[in-house]
Amino acid sequence: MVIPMKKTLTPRLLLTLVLLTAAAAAVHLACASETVPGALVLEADGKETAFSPDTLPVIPVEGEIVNGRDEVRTVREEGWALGDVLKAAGFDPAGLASVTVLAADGYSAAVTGGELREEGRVYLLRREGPSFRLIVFGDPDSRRSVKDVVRLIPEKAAEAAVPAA
Amino acid sequence: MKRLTLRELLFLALCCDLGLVSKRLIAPAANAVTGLLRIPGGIGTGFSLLFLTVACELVPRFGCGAAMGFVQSMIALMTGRVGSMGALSPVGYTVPGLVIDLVLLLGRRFGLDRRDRLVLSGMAGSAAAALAANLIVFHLRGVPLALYVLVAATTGALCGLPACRIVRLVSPVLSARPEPERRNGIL
Repeated sequence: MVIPMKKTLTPRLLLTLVLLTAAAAAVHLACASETVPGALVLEADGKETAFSPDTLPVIPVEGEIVNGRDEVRTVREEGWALGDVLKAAGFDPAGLASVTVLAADGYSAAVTGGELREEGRVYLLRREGPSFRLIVFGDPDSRRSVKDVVRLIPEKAAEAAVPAA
Repeated sequence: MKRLTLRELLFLALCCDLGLVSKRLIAPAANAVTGLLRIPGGIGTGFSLLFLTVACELVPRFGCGAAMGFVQSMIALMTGRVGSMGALSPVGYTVPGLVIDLVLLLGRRFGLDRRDRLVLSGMAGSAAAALAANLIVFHLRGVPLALYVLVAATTGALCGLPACRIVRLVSPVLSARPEPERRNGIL
């Protein structure tokens, strides 16, 4: 005797979702693998330039940051001031409105030009791998603590309007 | 509208807590997978929403999911476990609950079987949670956003299967009539 089975959505839905996820993961990881370990991509004026901050001397970075659980954590690592990294790459922090810092997982945070110019505020830590981590001292939370930084997108400040003679 | 019984309220509160705790428990394993995929999350939330779908299926009142999500966000705010969402965490928690409510309501109206309802509500709830988190915190675009939402939706849908099993096991217990109250030894 054959018992008629009621058709359900679940198997087809799960199969479709798994296939779509696998396809998206393949595309995403293929794009991500284009980044060179130990190098940052600078994206400005429609051009992309690979740049290694390792050409700069590392400095000790010390301070306190607040993590996602509102706990204060002491940072004692090595890295560079983000302003110095940008300067070495040919971008004067004085002429920047902001910089968007992008992680390998797509997470991003923006740092304003004012914060870049502030002494002891924004740093790029050098981690094992090598990889880079953005930290912003003085933030009330860890939203701008970006791990595995791969790309910097500086935005130039709009030039001051020249008053008419 | 019929009021919720004490038993139902206690069950909803238990599911709220289980949702919050399970997210913490699964976080290390979930982070390992999302780290490999290079996305900022999506698995833990799908798993924690399993308990919301179970509760909304067993206590079929519209708004249960949204209310539970709101209560979860209040617990998270009071215990300082809001993560990167900060003061906007009530939005991030309530939206998936509301989506679960809507999907379950539509599923019942269109006569979907229980497993389909739970899988669909888990999928939609997780995808909504991922989109809300993206709007509030991550600001992903393009392929990373698509992958993040798909991973969340797949996890939510897969968690619909154990949710269905839990509903089958708990349903008789929750719907059992309570013992009649005795007063002075007389029923």
